[in-house]
Amino acid sequence: MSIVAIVGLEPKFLAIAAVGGRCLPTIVRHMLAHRATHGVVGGALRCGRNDVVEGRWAENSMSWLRRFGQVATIVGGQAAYVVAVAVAVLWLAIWPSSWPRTVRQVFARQMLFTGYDAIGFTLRVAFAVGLLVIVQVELWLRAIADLDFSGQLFLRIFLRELGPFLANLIVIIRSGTAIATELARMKVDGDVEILEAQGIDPMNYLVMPRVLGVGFSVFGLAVILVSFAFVSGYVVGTMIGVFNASPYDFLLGIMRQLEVEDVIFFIPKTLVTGMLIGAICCVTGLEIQDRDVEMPQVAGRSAVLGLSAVFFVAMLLSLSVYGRVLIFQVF
Amino acid sequence: MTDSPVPETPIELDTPSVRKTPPILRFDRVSVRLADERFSDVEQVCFEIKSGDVATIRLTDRRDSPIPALAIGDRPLEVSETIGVSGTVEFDGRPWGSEGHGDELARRGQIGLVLGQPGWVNNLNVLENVLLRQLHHTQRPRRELLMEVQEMAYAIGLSEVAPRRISAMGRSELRRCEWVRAFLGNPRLIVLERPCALVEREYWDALSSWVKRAVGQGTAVLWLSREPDELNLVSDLAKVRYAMTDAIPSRLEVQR
Repeated sequence: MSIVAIVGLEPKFLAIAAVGGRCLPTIVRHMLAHRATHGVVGGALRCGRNDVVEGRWAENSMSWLRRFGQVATIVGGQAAYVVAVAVAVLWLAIWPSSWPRTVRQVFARQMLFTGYDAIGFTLRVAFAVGLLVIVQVELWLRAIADLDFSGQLFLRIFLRELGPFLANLIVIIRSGTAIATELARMKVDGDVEILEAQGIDPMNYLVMPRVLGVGFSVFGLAVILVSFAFVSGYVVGTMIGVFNASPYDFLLGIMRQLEVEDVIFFIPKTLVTGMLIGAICCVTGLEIQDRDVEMPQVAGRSAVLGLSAVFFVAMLLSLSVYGRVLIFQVF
Repeated sequence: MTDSPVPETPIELDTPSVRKTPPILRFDRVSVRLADERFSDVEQVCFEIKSGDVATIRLTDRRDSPIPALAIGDRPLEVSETIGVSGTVEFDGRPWGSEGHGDELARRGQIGLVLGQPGWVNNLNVLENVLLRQLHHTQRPRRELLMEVQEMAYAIGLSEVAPRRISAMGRSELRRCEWVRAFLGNPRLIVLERPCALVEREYWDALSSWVKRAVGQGTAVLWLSREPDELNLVSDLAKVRYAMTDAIPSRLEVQR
């Protein structure tokens, strides 16, 4: 209201005043001292110059930098904590004493729920993806008459990217959110304290089997997904006349394109990301303090963080194994 | 039985036999002031319980006592929750907090607990809860444990310890299942905090017979309660009886 009155309803000056809302006192002083238009612009400029002269510009820039640094520190700290949990799980897992029958039972249940129970859904996704991608790729490659490229393309799409990504996504949606919610409820209900009172380490009993279960499940599901995608794509493609090669030739074409880096790439992209997803979900669940406020957010937060980890690890692996980020050759 | 004031120096227990083995549980001048107002403070608590002994503590403060948690080396001793803490609590001759985390948890696995507030792991059924401590800390066959659980369940009026959800059981049944959980596997120490709360009077004698059998096998028992009737169940067994006063800081008084 006060701005409208000062600048006489001229939009461009409204915009300047709105952006420089902080500069309003300076603008008003100039309005009173000079003509209206000049006053607004001059006031804004003077405000900006004052900032520079009085060091406020540097201070404001520093405050943004400071905020950026704070956010980077927090995010980096959280990421380091999750990685530390995953490493601690691996360290615990190598000792036989970490595997009493109660922990083995939790691990088996986790593999059943996260891996085995997800096979049906994974097969359906693999069928659909195989059909869509393989057939489309083959059709387009026919159009540019470069059929020899198809095996390479299928491999790169499925083995390196789509297969691991979809397996991670399936696990995040089906199991990751459930793990986070379950552990959050255990935390607020005091179940974790009950376990400790009986001499049962929550890290050993709750976290370790879940992290490992999720990691191995992602790996297994990714293998199933990639394999079935190829099979379904070939079968449907042959039925609609896109493929003419025999199954043996099709498979041979794929295998000829397989490189050592593809295997190196596949294992960490499934096992490592799976373990990070498990660690993120466990940490997110066990960090909860307030049932009423945080419980509804736990599932969503774990899913978002899990996905972020998947993309980040994929990027890191692409850089380190292939020297690329997306289509850009880095080294 | 007359009350006597707490001496400034630790009490020398008047036990019939002088044993050379360290006490199973020993509180040495333990004082704790907690930030959580649900718990009473304690000051200069001194007592020890040896193998085969029973100690009773009559609680007169309406708040929960930190002694059970202190006895198992649990949370009230964490600095972040305390305003002040001093003294030592020893289990089997070694102070809590003097060993690695894994070793301390293993030692805690030798303690059977019935706490004032019922404590169940909600994503396990009742039977899994009862068996959990033994399955985790021992190599005893599951079948053997199930037989022992069944025998104990019959003795306290339960047809079985059922593999049912916690929420599907009544409060008295759950409390009695906690007795089974605490006494299962002949632990070194059993801490009972108001164990007869929510349980019908007809089953109390079964609990006292279990305590008698346990002490006969060398288990030490610490029983805390506000109800004199409850503590009288083991009055012939208790070597030392204590009462917590109302005053803050609370002090143990020896009742002889």
